[in-house]
Amino acid sequence: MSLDKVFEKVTRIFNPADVQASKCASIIKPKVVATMIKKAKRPILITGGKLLEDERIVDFVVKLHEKTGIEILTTGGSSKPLIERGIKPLATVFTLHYITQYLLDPNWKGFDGKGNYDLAVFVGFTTPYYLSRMLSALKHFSKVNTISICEYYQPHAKFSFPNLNEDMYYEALNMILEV
Amino acid sequence: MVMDLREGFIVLDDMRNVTIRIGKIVEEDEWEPMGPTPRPHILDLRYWDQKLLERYEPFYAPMQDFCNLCTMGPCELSHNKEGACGLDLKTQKARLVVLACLIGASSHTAHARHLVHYLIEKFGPDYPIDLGSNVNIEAPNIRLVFGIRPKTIGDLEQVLDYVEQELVRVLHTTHTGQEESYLDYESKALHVGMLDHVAMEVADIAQIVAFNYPKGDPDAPLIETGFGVLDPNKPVILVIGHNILPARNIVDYLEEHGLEDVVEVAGLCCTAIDTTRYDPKAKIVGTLSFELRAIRSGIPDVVVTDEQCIRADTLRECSKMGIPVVATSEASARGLLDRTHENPDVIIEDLVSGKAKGVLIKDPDKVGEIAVRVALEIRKRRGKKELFMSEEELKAEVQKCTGCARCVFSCPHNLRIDVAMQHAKKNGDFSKFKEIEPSCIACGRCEQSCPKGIRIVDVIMKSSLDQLKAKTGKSRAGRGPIQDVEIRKVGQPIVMGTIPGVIAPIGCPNYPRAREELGQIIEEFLKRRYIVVTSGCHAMDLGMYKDEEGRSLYEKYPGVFDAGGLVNVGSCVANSHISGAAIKIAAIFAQRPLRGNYAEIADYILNRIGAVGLAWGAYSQKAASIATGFNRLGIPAVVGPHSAKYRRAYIGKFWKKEKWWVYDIKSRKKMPVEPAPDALLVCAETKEEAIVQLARLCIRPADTYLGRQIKLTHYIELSQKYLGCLPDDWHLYVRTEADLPVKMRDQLLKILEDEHGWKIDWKNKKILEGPIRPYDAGFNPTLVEHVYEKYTGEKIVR
Repeated sequence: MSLDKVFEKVTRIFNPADVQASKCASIIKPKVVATMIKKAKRPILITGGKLLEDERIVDFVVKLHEKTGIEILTTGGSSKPLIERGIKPLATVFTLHYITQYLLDPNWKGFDGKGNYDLAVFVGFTTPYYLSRMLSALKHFSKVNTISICEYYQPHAKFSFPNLNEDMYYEALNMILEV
Repeated sequence: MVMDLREGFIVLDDMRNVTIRIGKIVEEDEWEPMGPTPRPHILDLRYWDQKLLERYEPFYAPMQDFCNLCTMGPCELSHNKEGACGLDLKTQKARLVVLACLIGASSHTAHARHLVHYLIEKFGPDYPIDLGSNVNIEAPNIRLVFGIRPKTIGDLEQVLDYVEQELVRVLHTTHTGQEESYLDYESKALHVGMLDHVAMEVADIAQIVAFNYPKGDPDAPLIETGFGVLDPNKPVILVIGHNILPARNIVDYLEEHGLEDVVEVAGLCCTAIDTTRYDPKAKIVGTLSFELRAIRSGIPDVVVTDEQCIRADTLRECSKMGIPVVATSEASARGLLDRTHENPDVIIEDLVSGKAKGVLIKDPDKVGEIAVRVALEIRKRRGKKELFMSEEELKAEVQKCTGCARCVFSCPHNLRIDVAMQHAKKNGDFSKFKEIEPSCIACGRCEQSCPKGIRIVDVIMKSSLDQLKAKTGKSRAGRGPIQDVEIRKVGQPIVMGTIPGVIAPIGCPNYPRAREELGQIIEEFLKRRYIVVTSGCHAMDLGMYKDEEGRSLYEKYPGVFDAGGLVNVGSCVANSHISGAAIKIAAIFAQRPLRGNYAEIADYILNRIGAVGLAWGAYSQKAASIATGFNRLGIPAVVGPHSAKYRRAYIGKFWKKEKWWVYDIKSRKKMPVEPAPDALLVCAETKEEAIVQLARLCIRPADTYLGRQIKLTHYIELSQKYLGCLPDDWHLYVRTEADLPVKMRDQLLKILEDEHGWKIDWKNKKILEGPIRPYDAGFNPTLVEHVYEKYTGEKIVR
């Protein structure tokens, strides 16, 4: 099946028991991810622990940062491989839990003091259930737009990639960079 | 009419036809003046909770955006909408957290009540509480909350009366149509957590004194631990749960009949730990995640269940394997016939013949004979069996797989079972299952979702049989309380910070990845000479983590409560000794009065004692309650990523400067303070992240400069090692140049000047301007007005 077809399919959530009454995430295509990052006033990329074991996601994050200038908040130890590649994350020590708590506060000025973020893009989380809970908090209690570009569909994001197999996933990440 | 006379006298005059009954004479010597909050009710410590919740803002991550607890609903609450009763989503989540904590605390309380009731029947109410000459503060939680020094087991009954009453009162508040502030529900959750530590303390000191467990012994015996210690050549009795009573009777029966070396007693979960505290010859198989492994292996000849953390399909699973079950608890009767009062010969014959799959025996003193005789008979009749399945069955099972990946989507860890199945199917290579096994919690959800009915857990375990058999190690038997003499030795260095912290790995086995990660986290701190004090499932799993020479952490590090020591206090209920140790530091080192003086002691701990919990695999409601109890006492916890599903965390915001203040009793000023610790409950995703967070959350405002220097050295080193850089917030914890790690002082001063705009006197290498507050050796912080007033004699205008 082509990648385009996969993005048109109704996808399964990573855990069939994570049932919600309200709306689930819309599937987002790679091109649209790139466009949304470009159009956002204060986009932020939040990276997770999978970067410690997946060089290809590290590559993607480095290239996305170079191409779009999007600032990065690293969690789960993901700062280490990125710093080794010359990236200077805005934050390294605060876990995803802390960062979500900060994002929920409309008065937060961000790590650079310029104001809260209007778009949060999440990539590289080894634990979809953890990211899912954080996205749920952001969905219910904030106005921050959220995009998950992890390999599993994230129902609580505003926009999410569908479930993708390994090859398709990296292809989708590359397509973001090609825009 | 009931009269509760605390002090004074009454005169009865001219009374006729009046009967006076004296229910209980409470003799309580005046060992310490009573503090402000003995036996606190729901609202009595709300002011302390409000202090905590002001700083550590509750964070909610809903699991569902609907509520269906009443018939006006179900109500859709997304985006914080209100339901038919007026409750919004955030407050509904807080209410559910209260319910989770109530379940947890009730479990420990019911366990404690059962033990105390049994022990009073056996030994009488006057059986003394004697924890040995090195433990004078025998019950720090009870002293602190309830306000008595319990001298006998009978004294514990009144403590449980109080706890039960409070739990019911809190449960009442969760009925529809009551609280409307999530903060009030959080205060109730904190109250329940505190009560939980009291109930746990009751349970553990009762069983320690009555059953002669180790009493604070740092050299408690080493216990054989791990799946590989099960001996398939002997009759095996597998005891599962959290209540020692039936297992104790089994051990006694074996001894009385000279069968100790003939029959094996092995345990899962906290019953395993407590059985080995009673009899060090017993063995620990592992945690809840080993239950299906153990049963499906077919090794046990009889399974005895008591209460809590036992799979709800134990009888079904055992029946498939031909293993009879003896249920012993009112909490888990398993649909079995109550045969407590029947002739044991008849029961045994029914179980051995398969006529009965299991029985309920309510009297723990009747379990031993039945379990032992059944195990002996079953083993004779069964002969040898293949573990899990035959090689042919294994091959046939993987051939059924279509690669639909439903198992992956059902797996709590989303393990790629589909990939392992397809690889084995195509290549006949089962090695990928071995990669999955260490992370598999053997919950069986994959099997429930498999459309082909593949026995997935059995496939994983059969393929990994060699590594399962290699899971052997040594745990130290739960030693119970920390000795007063140990506290005397380490109290000062902990408060000053020269022992950089106390790390407390506690809780369940729902780890994000392989179990070994827990050992890796903990050894990092043992090498750095933190004190590590553990309990429950984490204590068992640490026993299976071995170095290249095959030594477990317990064999490498001493069991003392001192720098570089690894202390196993015992089962779940022994967590009370960890909170108890923090309380005892305040009492013994700082001479703070304990009696009914909760807020002062919690405030002392929050500001001074660098203790942090680590619940890397928390799954249960008990874990939620235990952690919440630690939080009320001012002890933060780092939890694994699954704990995000508890829905609530307590996370402060370092950038809200107005939230970080204390009263300084020395300078008599309200002053800003560094955000330390800046969270009471927070998830980490990876072991790398957890390690750094643990070091970070050990920092306390009252650290001396030497202590802060040591803590910052570890924090910075660990951040550089695992995050690849200096931590973002290290400068917030610097009060004076003496706080800085010596080797990095110049470099850090330069960063403070260049990046944070601090003024530095380079000639003298001194900080002139920049820190949140200056360092003062006599700094004496408190958040509590009445504590400030007590020690200064000044009134605060509120």
